[in-house]
Amino acid sequence: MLEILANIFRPNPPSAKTAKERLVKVVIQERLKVSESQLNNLKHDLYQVISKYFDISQDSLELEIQDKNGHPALTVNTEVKPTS
Amino acid sequence: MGESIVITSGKGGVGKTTSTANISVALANFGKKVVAVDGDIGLRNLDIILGLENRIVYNLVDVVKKRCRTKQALIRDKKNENLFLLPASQVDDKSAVTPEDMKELCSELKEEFDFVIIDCPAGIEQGFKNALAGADSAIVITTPEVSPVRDADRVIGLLQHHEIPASLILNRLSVQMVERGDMMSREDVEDILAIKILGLVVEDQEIVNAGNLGTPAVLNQNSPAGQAYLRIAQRILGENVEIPSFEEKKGFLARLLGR
Repeated sequence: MLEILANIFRPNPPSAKTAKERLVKVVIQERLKVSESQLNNLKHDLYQVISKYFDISQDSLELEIQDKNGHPALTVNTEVKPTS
Repeated sequence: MGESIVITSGKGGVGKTTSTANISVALANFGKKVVAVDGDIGLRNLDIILGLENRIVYNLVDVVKKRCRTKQALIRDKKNENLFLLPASQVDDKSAVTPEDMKELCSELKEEFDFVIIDCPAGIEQGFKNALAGADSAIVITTPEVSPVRDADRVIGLLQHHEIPASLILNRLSVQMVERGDMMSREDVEDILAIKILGLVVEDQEIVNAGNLGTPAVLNQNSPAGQAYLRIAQRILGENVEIPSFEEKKGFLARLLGR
């Protein structure tokens, strides 16, 4: 019971979830042998390509390597507006 | 012909030597002829965990350099006549031995013993490569923390590269912390590492006691960790022993209602 109360009034949220999320990210990157700077370069190149077709801002372009059912997947996410 | 198993982790201090000692003692108690090989040349510790530190005359480097016969360097355990230790040298460094030396040594030992259990040094350099060279399979040790799991993933990758089949021991899991959501659970670690789990060892103060006394905890019926190593040894022997599941991640209401 005391433990439950301690949990309600604890100052920080449980940390295991954060640990897992951080690890999944770093482990996938390391398995693919891809560095943060390579990902930045890729992001820059993708921005150039997509810009030919859509009006996008570099800030809205998100690039992430995620785990999809045990396989690494490259996810690109960006807002698009038609070119004026 | 016996079987050689390397106990490895990448990260130091996660329980390689403790696991080597406990698995070796357990297998010997099940009647198997076992030799525990200390692969950590220059930083030997398997001798002191097994309580055999006062009996060392020759060591692994002496054997490899043919300064003695293999049998002369083997130390018989005080309690179990099936168990032997091949200690590491304390004065040489990792470069005193080559992967070829270890291959040769392991095949020689496999003729005499049912199990050759090799305690691998931390890191992924020469000592690691030596310890791997003569191994038929590997057991990777990790604790549920970010750096050991990351290093374990790296080591698993290297083992795959060397085509050495590997399984995992998740060591020093605190059920309380997992329940609080402050430690990754068995499922979390399995999700990340995607490797077959051989055993789950809970955090247990008896491990410190056992180290103090030089008597591995696997002999202590009151040690949860010791009992976990006993089950691990049974699984190594091909028995179908379930990994006990601990109540994890109970919801707030379930806790309140005591379910």
